[in-house]
Amino acid sequence: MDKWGLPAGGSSAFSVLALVWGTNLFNFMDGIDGIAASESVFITAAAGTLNLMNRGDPGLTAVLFSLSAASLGFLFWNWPPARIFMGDVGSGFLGFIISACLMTTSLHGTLPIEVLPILGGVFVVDATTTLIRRVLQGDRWLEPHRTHAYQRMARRLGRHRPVTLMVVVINVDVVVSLGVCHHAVSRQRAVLRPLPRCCHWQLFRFFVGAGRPEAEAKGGNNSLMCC
Amino acid sequence: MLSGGAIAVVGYLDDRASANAISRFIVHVSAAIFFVVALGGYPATEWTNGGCQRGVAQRLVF
Repeated sequence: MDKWGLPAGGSSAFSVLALVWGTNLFNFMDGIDGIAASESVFITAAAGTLNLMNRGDPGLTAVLFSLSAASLGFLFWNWPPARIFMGDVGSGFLGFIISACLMTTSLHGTLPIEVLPILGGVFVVDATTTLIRRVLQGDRWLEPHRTHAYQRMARRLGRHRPVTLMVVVINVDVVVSLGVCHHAVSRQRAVLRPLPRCCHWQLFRFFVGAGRPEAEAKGGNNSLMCC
Repeated sequence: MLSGGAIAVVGYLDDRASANAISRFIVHVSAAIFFVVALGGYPATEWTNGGCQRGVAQRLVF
């Protein structure tokens, strides 16, 4: 039995599921201008910095910082109103390669696995809760939809930029929190600091009703359709 | 990179409406299995015992 009480090979099976979910996470969440690219910048920069501070594999650190720099360059053109889009090619590849890098850092022991969902908290919370809600409602969850929290918010506000900015603010919050954790001594402080980020997004998700039936989202913009 | 390349290719086909959700899912799962096998599995026991014991990682969660 391993740490999670899974039988031998259970962790590997779980990691395959996590990789598939991570790959599709970026695909689901790449629905408005700049959101996937900005999330990618923060995840890879934070993971690269932590890997560097922990004296992790230098090659992996280089890959993470390269991904961050490439995403930042892409974000310049993808910032709302976007002039270029990453499509399924970019979002699928980015989701997979980031998940693979993060998994390798946790395997090397330089980044605890519990930190990984916190780093991608906005995407993990929104996409996971929306999917669960749609499955519980009996919706055809394999079909495209536009009921993610960020899509509903963008429709309400009529623009992409405020939502992308909100995601950036939440990401900055967690990066600062992780930085504070680096210097934290007490266990309580270390555990509590990264939590606000997920709480912020949970509140937004609650208020905008992510995953509610499509009929409630009438009048929306087709460009916000999840693909 | 091979796994990531396969996912990018199926994403390209999906963008061109040449791939459906099932074929995309099959490629994603295959790529993930390939990566985990190439990694030598994911030994959570080893990670717990020896891996995450130092510096920032230790202070972040524990």
